Parts: sequence; structure tokens; C-alpha cells
Amino acid sequence: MQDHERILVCVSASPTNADVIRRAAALSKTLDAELIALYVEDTEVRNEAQARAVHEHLGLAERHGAMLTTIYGDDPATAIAQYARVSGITKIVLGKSPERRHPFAPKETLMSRLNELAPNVEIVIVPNQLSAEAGSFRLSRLFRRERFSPLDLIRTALILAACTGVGFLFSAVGLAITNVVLIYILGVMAVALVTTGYLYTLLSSLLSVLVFNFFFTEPFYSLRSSPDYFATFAVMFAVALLSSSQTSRIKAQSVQTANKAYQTEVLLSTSQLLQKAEDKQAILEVVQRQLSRLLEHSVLCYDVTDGVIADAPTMCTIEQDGGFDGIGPELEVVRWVGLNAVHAGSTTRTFPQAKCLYMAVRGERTVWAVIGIRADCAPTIDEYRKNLMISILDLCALAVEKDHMTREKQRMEESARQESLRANLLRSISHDLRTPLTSISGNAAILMENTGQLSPENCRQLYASIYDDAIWLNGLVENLLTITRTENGVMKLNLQTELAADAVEEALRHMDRDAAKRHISTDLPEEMLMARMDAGLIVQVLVNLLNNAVKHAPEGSRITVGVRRRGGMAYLWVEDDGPGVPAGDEEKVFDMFYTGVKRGPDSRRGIGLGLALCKSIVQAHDGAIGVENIQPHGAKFWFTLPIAEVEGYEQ
Amino acid sequence: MNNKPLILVVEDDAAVRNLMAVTLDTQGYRYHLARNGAEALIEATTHQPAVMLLDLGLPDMEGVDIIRRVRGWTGMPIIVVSARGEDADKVDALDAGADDYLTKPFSVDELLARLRVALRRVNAEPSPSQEDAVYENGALRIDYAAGCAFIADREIHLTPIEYKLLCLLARNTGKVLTHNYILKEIWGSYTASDVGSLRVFMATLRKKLQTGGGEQPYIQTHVGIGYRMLKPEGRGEEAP
Repeated sequence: MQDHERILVCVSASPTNADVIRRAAALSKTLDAELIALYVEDTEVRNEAQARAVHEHLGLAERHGAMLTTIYGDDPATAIAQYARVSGITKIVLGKSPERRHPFAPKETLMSRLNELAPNVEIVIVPNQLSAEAGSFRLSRLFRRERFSPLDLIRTALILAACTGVGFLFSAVGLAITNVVLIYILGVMAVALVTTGYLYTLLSSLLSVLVFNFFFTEPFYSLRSSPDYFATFAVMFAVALLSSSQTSRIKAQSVQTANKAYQTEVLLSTSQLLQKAEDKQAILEVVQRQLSRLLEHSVLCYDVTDGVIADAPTMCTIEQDGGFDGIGPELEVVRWVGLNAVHAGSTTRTFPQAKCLYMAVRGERTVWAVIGIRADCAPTIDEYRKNLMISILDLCALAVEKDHMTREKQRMEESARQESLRANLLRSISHDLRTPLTSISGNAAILMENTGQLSPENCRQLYASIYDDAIWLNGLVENLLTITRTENGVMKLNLQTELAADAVEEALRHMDRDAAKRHISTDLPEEMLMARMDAGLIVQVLVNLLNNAVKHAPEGSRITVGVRRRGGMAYLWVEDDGPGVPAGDEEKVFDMFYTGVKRGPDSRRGIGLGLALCKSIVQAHDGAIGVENIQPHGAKFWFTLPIAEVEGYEQ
Repeated sequence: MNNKPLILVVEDDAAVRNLMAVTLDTQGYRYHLARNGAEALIEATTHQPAVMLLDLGLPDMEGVDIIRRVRGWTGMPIIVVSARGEDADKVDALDAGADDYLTKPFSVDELLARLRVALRRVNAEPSPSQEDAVYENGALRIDYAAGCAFIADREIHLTPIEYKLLCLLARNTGKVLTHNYILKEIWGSYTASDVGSLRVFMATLRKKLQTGGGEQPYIQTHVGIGYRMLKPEGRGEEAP
């Protein structure tokens, strides 16, 4: 099990529920547990008072810091148990509810069934302090449930009149009286279909019995009738009432099913869109769009990054709402929501004067964003859509959290990779620095201690060796400095438009002294070929390629460096007629620490940094780099840079 | 003996300071040494050296600040020496008024060559009236009054902007002019697209000057930094 507790409290319309929620909240505070308020919406028809009670209770739970969740299911026990299992609930707080007092279901059912279905979860029962008042509440509720509607009354009257008409027709034709009874039952069911509430069903059942009695039983046109018919009346009334109430239930269920289907569809499409969203911004956009479509209101979204709330929202405006910038005093409310992770603004108790209802997109511990729903110029959002909205926000929080975690993981992997690269680099460098340093200090020591004893030729060799090693070290440091400019694999460039030929000429000035022993020529174009480049870095690429050619081509060989326009890119190359690159190594030469074939203990130095660096520099310029062997022998290193066209330089 | 110009070397690193001192000594230059910015400013004001070699990474002051202060009262050439390969530092120093730059590690030959360029500039300078008439640099001649330029007495055809660029570089012969400086002088203000145009103008100008047959270019390109008009050694008048 998890270390921290998760407490579930069930929200219902029951008047004792508020007390249950308060106790659950107190419990969660004591145990430092997370509180989840669960509302199971079932098919039972709800009236306004009940809906209001549920709404109030949900609000109360929210104010106590609970996370609101709504699920659907006809059987609350199964639904709650399932939810508890899935979301790792450790305790369920229940009230001894006066509701569901049913002759065939003992009132402990919920609790005992939960015990049965979710044996791992501890169930806490809050004693009922309001049971005395409960009865009166139920009674008053029955009366309050019905609303008088003249239209429904007219419908009822019309249907009964029609039934009577058909009844007369039947009796005129001489059909049996039982058919008329069936017609009335049909009528009552029709009433149940077209009207709302039990009142009309009851009324129509009663009326149909009376009308039947009045018109169709002897003596006709009188409410008196023979005792034979009493049984008929009773059965007729019972059948009418039962079947009509069944009809009402089916009607309610079909509405519920439609709602459920719609909800499933909305949530499914949201979740599909969320899966496609690539980053947090995209996720928030999806949610914003889905919410504004669902609610037909403007939806604002304030991004929250590392606890800092964006100053301005991204808008998703629905035209009829008109303009609204969401700035000014509203921002205070947004900050409050971001800080407390609780809904606020219009229709809530906190900042009710605000123009929007603000809700936090929150994950386990963090608020990821604040969503604002414009609520002032449209009717307030009903409970059903509000629940759907909360579900969408939950989906959103999950998606953002997942995205965040993926990114975090990527970042950590990347930094681990960088770390190992750095460690490798340091190892190679410290090894490769020592060799020239040993040579420099050794040669200098010989020169200091043996002044006068060395032949001029010997001296000159020692001096030259010191000089060469120092120059080599400088080249290495140059490359290392460039590596330090790279962070997380991204190189910071100072891009300017430069003549490609200028870079080539500059590079030739910075070549090794050994270059003098090779024939170096240039192949520059007639046209002014300009490229976007960080001049220093591109010169370094060329210097590395040139020095590489000098290193691998024997004395007296030819080296050509050139520039051309090729396929919309500037194409630069360095070509030598040395031995070329070992077959199959064309890709590998650009890997870090690649040093070519081992040539024994006398092999020339190099830690395989130069070409790897060239590759990252060229790639940072959106260019490509490669090498090919040329005939009869030799290697051609090339790279490309995006061309910069200069317009209208001639006035 | 006092004929030789005085060089002020400002460098905090003893080894490099010693290297410069030995180099200058072998060439017979007189020199003074300063180890930090404060000493440099005192030396510069009291001894009025001909050229200052200034290290940018001094312990007490920013090199750029020293250049600005010195520029407040003298136009003596300043060659900055920077260990950092970063172009931005050099450009800042040049924009602040430095004439030239050297990147560590530099060769002794390079140091001396830069010094000669700077000294030629000092010797050519104190005659502003001369500028009004004619500029001569080897085979290159600019007739300011007529608004024409010649290579070996043959007129070269320049667009107005090219001519303006040539004059700007000629007036600052020996000095590295940064891209920004040139753009500001020629166009007044500039946008990013002008930088590309400047490259093209300079390339065509260089080509036109080249056709005259000089093996060494008159205009040096300093990639990522700027341009400089050079009076090639052995061409034009020798330093007295």
C-alpha cells in the first residue's frame, strides 16, 4: 500500500452528508491524508432541492480541500468499491444515511456491501445526529418535488379526453369493456411520457378510474357503480400507476443514458486529443477548446509554471461573449486559485463578484494551470456539465503530469548522458595534455641545463619541438573552449552573414606550421557566396579539417579547400591526396574519441575531438557534414551551410 | 638613442610581459612596463608612449575602460592583446577606440608586424591638412578633391558607396574598423540585412583594387570583426 492515506467521502443529497463531509475533512487533516469527495450519480430522478443539496455538499467538500470526482453507476456500492480499488483509497467515510430506507433492503446494505466488495478499505461510519429531522425532510421533499405546470395539466386532460373518445367508439362498436380499461392504462402511460413528475401520473391514474366509472359502468353518467367493478377499479388504478411510474423511470434513464453517452464521447475525444498533444501548452489548448465547446462560454487559461502564474491568459473566445481580457482585478482571483488550488470566483463563495469561475488544474501536489470560465453573461453551468468539466480538468491534470514526468525523465537521461560524455572527455584530455606538456618541460629543461654543450642543430630541433607542442596544445584548448559553449547539446551561435570565401581565407591563416610542407590551393567561386554563420566557429571547422588533412596526408601532398553553391546551400570542402578514410569508417570519423586505426606506440596524438566538434558546429548551423574517398586516393571532407541571399546591395 | 619610439606594455602575466620585453629589446624599441590598469594610466600620461600594447584581462580594470580613458586625451595607437578567442571582446575594444588586436598565443613576428603598422600610422598622422588633398598608398591614390581613386594611375570605377567605404578605410589606414563602426559611418544607422550588404560591397571593392595587380591586398578582412586598410610593408614610405 502507499505510505500516505487517501480518504474517500461519499457525497449525497442527504442532509446529514454535510456533517459527514466535515468529519471526513477533520479526519484527513489529522492523518495528513488526501481527501477525495466522490459523488455517485445514479438513475434516480433528482429534483431541484436534491440537486442543490448535492451542489452545496460538493462545494463544502471542496472548501475543505477535497478533490471532487463524479462517477456514474446504478449501484453505488459497486461503483464506490471499484473507484476505491482503482485509486488506492485507504479509508471510506460513510454516514448512517436515513435515505434508501426500503422494505427489501436493510439500511446497512451500503456499508456491508462495501465491506464485502472492498475488503482492504477501512470503512468509517459517522453517527447520524439528524435522524430525527430526517423523516420530516423526506415528507417535505415529496411535496416540494412537484411543480405545478398548466401545460402538463392540459396535456393530461387532452389525453384522458382522447381515451374517453376511443372508449365511446369501442363501446359503440360493441367491443368488450376490458378494452376500454386497457385504453385508459395506455393513456396514463402516455401522460407519464409527456409530463414530468409523479403528480400527473397519480392524477391521471385517479381520473381515468373516475372517468371510466362515470362513462362506462352501469349506471352510466354516475359515479355510483356496482361493487363488481370495485376490483376492476382497484386493479386498473394499480396497473396504471405502476406502469406509468415505470415509464417515467425509463424516460429518466434514457435521458441519463444519453447524457452518459455524451459524456463518454466528450471525455474520450478529450483524452484522444490530449494524447496527441505534444507539450503542456498543447494540452492546455486542447482542454481550453474542449471546455469552451462544452460550456459554450469563453474559457481563459493561465499557465502556471513552477508556481508562477502567467500574467495574461490565452484566450478562447466565443463570439457572443464579446471581448474580455481577463486582466485587472481578475488576476488576484487567479493568483488565489493558483495558490490554494481551490475553485473560486463567480458562483463560489470566494470572490463571488469576479467575472469568471476559476478552477485549478491540479495534480498530486502542484497546480499546473488555472482555467477561467466566463459565467457572467450566460446562465450558470448546470451540475451535469460542471461534473463533466471537472472530469475534463482531471484528465488535463493527468496529461500535464504525465508530460511533466516524461520531460523530467528525458532531462535526467540527457544530463546523465552529458555527464558521462564529460567524464570521458576529461579522462582523454588529462591523458592527452600530459604528453605534449612532458615534451615541452623536458625539452626546456635540457636546453636550460646543457647550454653550450648542444650543437646548434640539436638546439633548433628542441626549440621546434617545444613550439610545435605548444601550438598543438593551443588547438586543443581552442576546441575545448568551443565545447564549453555547448550546453545540453545546444550550441549558442552568433550568426552573421559572411562571405564563405572570407572564412576560407581566415582559416588558411590559422593553420599549423606543418602545412608549409604541403601544397595548399584554394578553389573559390566567382560569385559572392554568402552564408549565415558564426564566423569563429566555421573558421574553426575549416581549421580542424585542414589540420586533419595535414595530419593524415604525407609531406609533399596536395590539399585543396574550396567553396561552391550546390542545391541551395553553400558547399565547402577540404580535399587531400593522402591515404583516405578506412572503408566503412565514413560515419564513425565524426564520433567523439574516434582516432582512426591504431598505428602503434609512435602514433600521432589526437583524441578524436576535432571532427566530432566540426559535426556539432555544422549541425548547429542546420548544415550537413560528410566525408568521401576520392580517386585514386585521398579524402574529401565537406560540409554545407544555408546560403544568405543579400538583396539590393547595389543602389 | 631617444630616436626610437617608446612602447608601453600593459600585461599582468610576468611570463608574457617578459616575452614582450625581450622581443622589443631585440628590435631596439624603448619600452615601459605596467602590471595593471592603474600603472598603465600613470605611465600613459607621464611618458606619452607612441604605442600601447594592452592586455584585456587585467586584474584591476576592464581593458575597455582603460581604452576609453586614454582615448579621452590622446589618439595614440592601442593594440589590445586578448587571451580569449571571443570575437565580441575584440569588437568591444575596437569600438571603444583600440586600433588593432592580437590573440594569445601570438607569434613574435606577428607582434612586431602589428607594431610597425601602428608606428607607421603615428608617423603619418599629424597632418590633417594633407588628408584634404590626395591619399597615397603604394599604387593606390585617392584624389579627394576630384572624388576619384586610381591604381597605378588608372582610374578605378567605384559606386558612390564603394568610394565612401574606400575613403573611410583610407582615413583610418592601419586601424581595424569594426562592422558596426563602418555601417554607422556610411549608412548612418543599420539593420541586420545591411551587414550582408557590407560584406558584398567590401568584397567587390577589394576585387576592384586587386585588379590593379598588387599581390598583397590593400584591404584586410577580419572575419567576424571588421576590415582594415593596410599600407603593405616595403610599399609606400618607410618609417623615418
